[in-house]
Amino acid sequence: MRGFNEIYEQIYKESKEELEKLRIKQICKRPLVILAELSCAMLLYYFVCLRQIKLNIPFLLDVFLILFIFFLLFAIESALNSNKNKNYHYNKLFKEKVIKKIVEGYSEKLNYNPNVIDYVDNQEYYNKYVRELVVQGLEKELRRNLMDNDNTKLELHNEILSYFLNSDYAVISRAYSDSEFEEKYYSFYYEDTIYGQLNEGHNFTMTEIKTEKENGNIKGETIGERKKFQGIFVTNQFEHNVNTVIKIRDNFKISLFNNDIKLEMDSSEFEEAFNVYAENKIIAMQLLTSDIIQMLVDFKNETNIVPEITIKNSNLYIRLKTGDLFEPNMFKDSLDYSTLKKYYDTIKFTVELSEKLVDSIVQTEL
Amino acid sequence: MKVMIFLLVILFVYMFFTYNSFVKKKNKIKQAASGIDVYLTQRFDLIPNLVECVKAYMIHEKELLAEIVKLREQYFMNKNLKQGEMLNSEYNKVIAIAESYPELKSSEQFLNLQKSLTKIENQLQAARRVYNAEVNIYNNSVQMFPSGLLASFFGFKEEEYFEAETQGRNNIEIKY
Repeated sequence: MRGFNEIYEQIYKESKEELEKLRIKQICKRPLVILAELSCAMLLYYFVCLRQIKLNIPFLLDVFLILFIFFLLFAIESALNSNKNKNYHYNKLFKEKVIKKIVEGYSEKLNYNPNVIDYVDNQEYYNKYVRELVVQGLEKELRRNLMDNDNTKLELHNEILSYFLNSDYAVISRAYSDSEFEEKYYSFYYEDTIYGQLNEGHNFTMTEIKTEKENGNIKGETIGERKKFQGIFVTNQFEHNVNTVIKIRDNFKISLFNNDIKLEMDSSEFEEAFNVYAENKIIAMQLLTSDIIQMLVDFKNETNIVPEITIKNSNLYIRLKTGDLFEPNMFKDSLDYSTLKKYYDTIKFTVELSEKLVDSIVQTEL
Repeated sequence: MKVMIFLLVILFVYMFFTYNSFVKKKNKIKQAASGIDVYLTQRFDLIPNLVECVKAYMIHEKELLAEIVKLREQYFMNKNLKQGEMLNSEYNKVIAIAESYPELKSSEQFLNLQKSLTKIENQLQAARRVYNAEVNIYNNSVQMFPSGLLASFFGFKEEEYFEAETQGRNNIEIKY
């Protein structure tokens, strides 16, 4: 494991120039496009005017017509590029040269996959129909509906269904449903996966996810989607089975319909920020040792993020509401020290917390 | 007059809920205490096995072994947690002394016994933490204002925390 400063120096030497060049190029590209569109608009107008030169067109109408043509071209260009990430190349390079180096520098046991989703046809179909059904575990109903409807599209539907059932997407979204962090969500997205095997030989996966819930109107129709959660989701699978469910949640969230049994912990600082719900109080107390509790409290005090945890049978799930994490800011230095340190510290915290909790589970004879 | 009645009703409702809250917290303490008792009982049930296992080796510790057998009987009669903790502390002394006998330490029976005892001790520690957490919540209600006023009115007093026995904190004397 290497320290952050050492990793940062290496990345700086290897990639700073290349990243900055691409970043500046991407920033300048947009104004150039706008300038080109404006020039086209003016050329078009004057070409048309040459034919109408005998007409006395007022000056204000001139300006109005130029702007109208410009915005028409702008709208056409935006519509054509609406499904493409305008900073795609810079993002891709940033993730390969920076994020990957940070992950591999932190631990040789970890690997990184940016999971950049290529935009495909039927994006609308994915978002509105298939994702919801797969996440809600209603694949059988989907198959039945597909058979009843258009058979010519069955092949395409099966391909899509296969992706959502068998892919990393399916594994991660099912794990998220199992973690009981959220009751219901409409859409689930993920990218930037860090994975590997940690000290106790357990499987560790850390992913950046986003869930959305539907926005409805008074009639109950879906009119759009609203972001519900964005941040880090960690799964750990280990051999021991705790045969119980333990949840650590943000104290701020109070659910009137929560039937879980609340466990009072013996640290007042911890109780101010966290609520622990456990079927078996003794097992929960055994697993949540004082150093784990202190680690959670320290993280909350430093970052103002409350780590939420679910321990369920042979799985440990952790969730951090970090927002959009491993994305570069076009208008900031590509190797901004504090931003990269934040990435490193988040990875370090989730790995250390996972190791401590799994170690606690393994050592406690349940 | 109406205002007076209204204030009295509010006071009564507040007293009603506060009293019930005290009762609920006290019952949680009792529940946590019974949890400790369960694990202490499990631990002490192994005392006869321990005595049987070590008596042939620990000839010089006969008095200590007799003491823990006696304390065990007393505990099962009274179910006093403080007495239980004293016995637990003596029990730990025996284990520590036993570990200084190499032949005993490598005996399979002793090793199995030690494993069971360690598991129960971990559960016992967790049970003590649960107990202390419940006592903390109850004592806060008893001490804080205005619930503290009602606590003294209804006769609710502070409870003691579970602390490690002083004997248990001292170094154990090993006789060779």
